Amino acid sequence: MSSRTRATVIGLLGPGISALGILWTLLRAALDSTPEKANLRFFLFDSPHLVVAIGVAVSVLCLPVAIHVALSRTEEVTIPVFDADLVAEPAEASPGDQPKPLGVSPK
Amino acid sequence: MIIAAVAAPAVDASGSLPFHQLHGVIPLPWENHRLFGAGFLLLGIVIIVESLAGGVWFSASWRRQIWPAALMLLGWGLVAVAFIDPQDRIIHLLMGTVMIVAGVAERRYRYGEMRLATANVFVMLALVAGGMEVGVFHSHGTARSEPFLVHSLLGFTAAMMAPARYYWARAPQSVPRYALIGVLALILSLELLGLSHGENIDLHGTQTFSG
Repeated sequence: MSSRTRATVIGLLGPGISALGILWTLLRAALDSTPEKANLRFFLFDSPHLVVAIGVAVSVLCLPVAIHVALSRTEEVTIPVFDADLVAEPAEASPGDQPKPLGVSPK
Repeated sequence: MIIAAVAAPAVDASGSLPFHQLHGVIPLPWENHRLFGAGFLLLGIVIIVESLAGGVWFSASWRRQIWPAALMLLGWGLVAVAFIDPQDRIIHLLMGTVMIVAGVAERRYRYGEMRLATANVFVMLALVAGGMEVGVFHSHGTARSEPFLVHSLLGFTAAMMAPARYYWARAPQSVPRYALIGVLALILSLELLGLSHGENIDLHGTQTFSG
């Protein structure tokens, strides 16, 4: 998977989750004939509201990461291995996994 | 284990805590479901982003600590539950301790201070413990009742993260294997956010809103 594809997926995760929460809210408003009491407790613990909030948090968290990933080389976005023993003996790889150099960056 | 040993007398002495009075402050079971669902949604996304961003994600020390910190936070949450809730006090304390230790182990692995295989033992144990906590000790009612079925499903999904973690550890640079753990966390979060088992009545018999 190229860095640009990874960056696109990372960048779209937050807005995607928020869109899911908004869609959930709208669907429920359209289908539920007995609306809930609109109080603070309802706002805090309602599932679609929480999904929208998490979507916003993910967007804020992931936007700089997505930009950084888009500007990085493929080697820089491989999952680092922090175990020195595993660097000495390469791990098992399944047919779907692309072999990549093991990199250790503990600090 | 040290935490369990130190905290056990205090937990024992806290038997007289005003649990019923605290129920206005402590979220109700279905509210907890949704709060934990939101937390696992965030965690699942974090794990998936970790798999996609790789070295870029781990280059920032604070981002590297999100997953271990989440494990420790869940553990401390269970220790708090042990103090507040008179039911299954020792079980909650032990499982909380297991999760805190797992968080420490995962953090040590991420800073190159512990082998992956060793850290994995603690993390997998914590995931199984978490599954048992939700699926066994929080399952109430008969085998066909709604609370039992919902909690069994939640516990099974949480426990499945342990074999997924083992599967990933055999090829630690595999993106699909690492993302699988995140996908399971997302499934768990959707189950928590979407499923309810009708425990929406507080101790005073007042119905809150339909869960």
